[in-house]
Amino acid sequence: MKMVFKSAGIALLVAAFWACSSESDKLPIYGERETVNRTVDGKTVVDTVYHRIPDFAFTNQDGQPVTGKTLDGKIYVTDFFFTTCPTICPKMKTQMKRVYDKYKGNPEVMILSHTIDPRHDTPQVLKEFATGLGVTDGQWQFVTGEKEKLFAQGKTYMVVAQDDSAAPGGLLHSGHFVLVDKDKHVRGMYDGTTEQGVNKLMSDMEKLLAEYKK
Amino acid sequence: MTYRHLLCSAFLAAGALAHFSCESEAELKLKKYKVVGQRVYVENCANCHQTDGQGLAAIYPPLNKSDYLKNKEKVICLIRHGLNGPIVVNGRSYNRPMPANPQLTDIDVATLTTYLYTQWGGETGITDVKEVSKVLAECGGAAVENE
Repeated sequence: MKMVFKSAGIALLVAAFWACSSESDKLPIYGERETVNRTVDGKTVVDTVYHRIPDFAFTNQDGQPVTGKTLDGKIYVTDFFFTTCPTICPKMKTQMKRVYDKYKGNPEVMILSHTIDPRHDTPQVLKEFATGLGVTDGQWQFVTGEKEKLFAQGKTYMVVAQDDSAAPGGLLHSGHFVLVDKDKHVRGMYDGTTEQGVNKLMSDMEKLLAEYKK
Repeated sequence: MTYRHLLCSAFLAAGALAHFSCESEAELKLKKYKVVGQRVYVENCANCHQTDGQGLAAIYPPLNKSDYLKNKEKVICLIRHGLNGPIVVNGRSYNRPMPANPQLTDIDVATLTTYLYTQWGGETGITDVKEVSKVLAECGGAAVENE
């Protein structure tokens, strides 16, 4: 487990370093990467394969299935929270609401919030929460599912989500917002509990959207 | 100090000097309450109710100019013991439980209440810890239930 974090950390550093030496207006691609040799016209070509978010299947606030397909052709911001969390979640939701308000109606942008307390956060509870936030359409998806799968999904985004009896609310999770591009690559990680962190996220979203305009 | 204190007691009814020095002590105490109360607020409440007390959409109710503040004894109790059930604030319905804050001492609750009511409830005076302790003693141990 520690190893995973270590290698993820190293990968992040490599990615960050690599980002500095490439075109400055392009966001880095985070996560593990490997090189694959291919043969094209008798020549060996080296391809880099980047970490991609694997497919998943969860249930949203309307009781409808949400999979990787739901997010095809979109850049999206994702986080992990639970509706009764007394600590950082309210801040995260305050900040995510800013993102939602800014990109409301933009067909290229979605938000995906995972609950990590599926026992309490049923689709109906998530629906009430979404409605309370003023979310009335499918652009911001709130999803629930099997707890283990939700935790495992957190790992694919390189964020922490786990049971912890010592934490307020009994669950431990990070306050990160993760930015994912249209190819399901992780392109940025931000502190979702602060205005500055989310300002950075939104300026990076502009950069990412610009990549698709060329 | 004792001398001044004597003056205070002796001239409480009529002495202008005494009146002045007593009032400045009260002023000082109010200032202290407000400063400490703000810190208690930021550490324990601002996450949900926001730094400016505006709340968040229909999820967390506002405290700033909230008509719920008229139930001061209820407010004092729910700070300590939390709140369950639907409430209406400024004409808008909210129905999410507020967690209890058993970690807050009587003086914490008093300074916080003073901060809330002077900042957003239109009050100018202190909500003294003596008053708060009396209310807290009568709360019972359960969350405030709303119909």
